[in-house]
Amino acid sequence: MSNKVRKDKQTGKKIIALIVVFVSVFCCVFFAARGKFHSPAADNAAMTVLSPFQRVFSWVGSQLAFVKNTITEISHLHEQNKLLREEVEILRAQNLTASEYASENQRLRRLLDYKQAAIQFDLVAASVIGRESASWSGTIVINRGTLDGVANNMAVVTELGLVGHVTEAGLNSSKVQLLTDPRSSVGTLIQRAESRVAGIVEGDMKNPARPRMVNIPKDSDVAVDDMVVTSGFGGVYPKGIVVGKVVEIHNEEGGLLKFCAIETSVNFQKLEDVAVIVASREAPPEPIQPPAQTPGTETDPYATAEKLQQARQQILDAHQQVLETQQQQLEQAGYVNEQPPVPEESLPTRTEPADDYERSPRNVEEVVR
Amino acid sequence: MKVVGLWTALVVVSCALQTSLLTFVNVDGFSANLLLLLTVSAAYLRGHEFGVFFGFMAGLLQDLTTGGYFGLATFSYMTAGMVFGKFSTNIFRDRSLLPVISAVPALALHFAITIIFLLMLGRQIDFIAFMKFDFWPAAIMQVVLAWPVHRLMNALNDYTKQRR
Repeated sequence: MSNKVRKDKQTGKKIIALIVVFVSVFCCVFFAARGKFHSPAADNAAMTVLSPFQRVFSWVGSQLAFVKNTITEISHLHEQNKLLREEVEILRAQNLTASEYASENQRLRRLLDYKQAAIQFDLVAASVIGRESASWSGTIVINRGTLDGVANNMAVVTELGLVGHVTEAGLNSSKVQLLTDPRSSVGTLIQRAESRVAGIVEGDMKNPARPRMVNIPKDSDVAVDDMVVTSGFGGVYPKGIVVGKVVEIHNEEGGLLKFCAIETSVNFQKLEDVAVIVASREAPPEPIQPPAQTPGTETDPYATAEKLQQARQQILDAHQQVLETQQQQLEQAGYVNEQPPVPEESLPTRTEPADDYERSPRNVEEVVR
Repeated sequence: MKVVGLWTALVVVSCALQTSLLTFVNVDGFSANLLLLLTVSAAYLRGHEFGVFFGFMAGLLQDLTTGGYFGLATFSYMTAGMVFGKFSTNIFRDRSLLPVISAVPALALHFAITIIFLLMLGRQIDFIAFMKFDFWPAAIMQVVLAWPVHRLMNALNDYTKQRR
């Protein structure tokens, strides 16, 4: 490397040549811009020389661009994959929460429907917060206590049927003895109208999932699939709450009684939301429904009654007309003396068809006589 | 003859590179002006006369092979060769950092000449947008390429001297 300072010698001819070149190029720009200067031969020659190199470099450039794009895409994909994984995690968590909410919503809706349907009961909704399930015991803990109006011996139900009763009511929580607890006993009867056999449902230690209905006389009318409801005897459980259905009937050894295995209507393994009956009253009578009609000949009872009323009115009108005509004919024939005009109040009115109907024939008979 | 061929090949390959490969390496769509860098380096190394000649050849090739205003690049590169070649008489011409420092002023000179021509031809220029979107991206690329280009020119210049 040399660090010498160059000493150029300028000559007049070189300066003039430079000025000429600069001016020429300057003019070329303007001429070319206005379209007055073309050099197609020079263009072609330059392009011919340059194009092979351009082709090679373009190919190299496109390959480099492809590699660059691929690398960029891979890095983006990696980043995108990471983001998507995070998104999937979040969405999965949200999905779980949503499913949980949906399930809870469904359960609470069912319970609300039951609450609206069972108007004879005042219900307090509760959630199961603890459970103890062993063959010798079946107890749950609910999140309602005396502060919510819950007290001992109150019946606990779901929309499907009886769950049990409150054995220990705390301030904020209560213990509920399930129907399946061997210590539990519920007064029940067979729902079928022809049967109405009473018995006691108690938990079976041998088979906790299926309590037994005991104290049934051997000759009583009990069949498989009969629904078992609370009888209301004993005062703890209101009458008419579904307990389950009869699945098996057995005779007791050496006795005059038999017992039934009951399949409870409530699935105690999936118990999450319950309702405590804090007050019950007698159910109001159901509205009278029109009797069942023969298929194919159904009629609207209200419309039929209206038509009958109209027909009756038409008959009465026609009858009145006939009577009036007969009266006029008798008067014209001179069989009837002219009577003083009857005051308006005593004349039959259209609103009193029954009186009119009853009175008119009597008058005619009198006239005829 | 071999020396002339080498210089010619350098100009042709550089022009081909500028119009093909360098377009793939860009900042906001603007790539380096390799021929301008070569002209400035040539002017620094061999004086303003060679700088003007190199600028003339490089600009002419670019004007012939691209569809811009014919003569504009030629005039601009010649001017750059002239101006930066004049500096070479007063500074240590082999200092490698000098072309890097000169890359941005050279580009500014090139853009200034272009803008003046465009204005003289009746074109409208938005200076702020031009500086923001055209000049700075191109200047970054010029600075990046200035040092390797100057090293190349220096090596070629030394080879030429040895051949002579």
